[in-house]
Amino acid sequence: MKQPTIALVETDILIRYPLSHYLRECGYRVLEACTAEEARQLATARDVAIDIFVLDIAWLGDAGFALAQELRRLNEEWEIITIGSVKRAVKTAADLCEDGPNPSHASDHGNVLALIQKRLSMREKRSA
Amino acid sequence: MNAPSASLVPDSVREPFHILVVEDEVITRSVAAEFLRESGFVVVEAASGDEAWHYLISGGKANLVFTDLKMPGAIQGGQLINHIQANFPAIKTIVTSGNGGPFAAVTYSEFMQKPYDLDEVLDCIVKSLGIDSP
Repeated sequence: MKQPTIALVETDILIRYPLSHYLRECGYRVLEACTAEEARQLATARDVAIDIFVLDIAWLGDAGFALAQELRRLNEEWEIITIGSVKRAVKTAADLCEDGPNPSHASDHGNVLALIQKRLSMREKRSA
Repeated sequence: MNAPSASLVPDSVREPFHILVVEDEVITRSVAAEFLRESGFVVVEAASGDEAWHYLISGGKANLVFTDLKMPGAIQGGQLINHIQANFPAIKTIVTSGNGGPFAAVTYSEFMQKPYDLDEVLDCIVKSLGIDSP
């Protein structure tokens, strides 16, 4: 069976890595894009077949909305999910996981949220 | 007592090694990351030295950093290596560049000229980590 591919477009590595790792545990192939431009490059790469785009609108801002519209124009069959907060991002990943090839392999999504919040808090402290 | 070296820990109980791939070209980064994941590593992707540094100082795990030299942002690959050696001396490093030339090969003990062969990258990572296989 073909492994579904998710393109996760998330600018913050402290959110992107735990989410992508979680989704891989659920059996997805996950491609990571750090910017809208990187997402465009993945979307238009000849040998990259993507099923679902997950876009973090909170961090991408207007570029995220523009990207979502552009992706819809490029391929109407792509499922495009926009998210607007860390909690929403983790909930979205958990929902995708339930529908994924290996939902039983996933760790508790509450742990993913806790890990992200812990790392964001550590960065804030180091930056202060 | 010192912890046993990674190569002495049985594969069945060993936590997977974490490789932080730092590369600003998305297709190059994705291809390298997927190859290393398929080889058995946990791979973290960063698009810049700044991102990689944020990951590390926030408690992110990495046994080895495989980084490009020239990237956008405040922290270039060379600076990232210096920061890692000063703050996280246990983390192994491998540098890559398309135009590093002989200078980079002399400066960095582990250097891969672009375009690199992924099997050679894997060999270099395994050797740097002192393990038999991922």
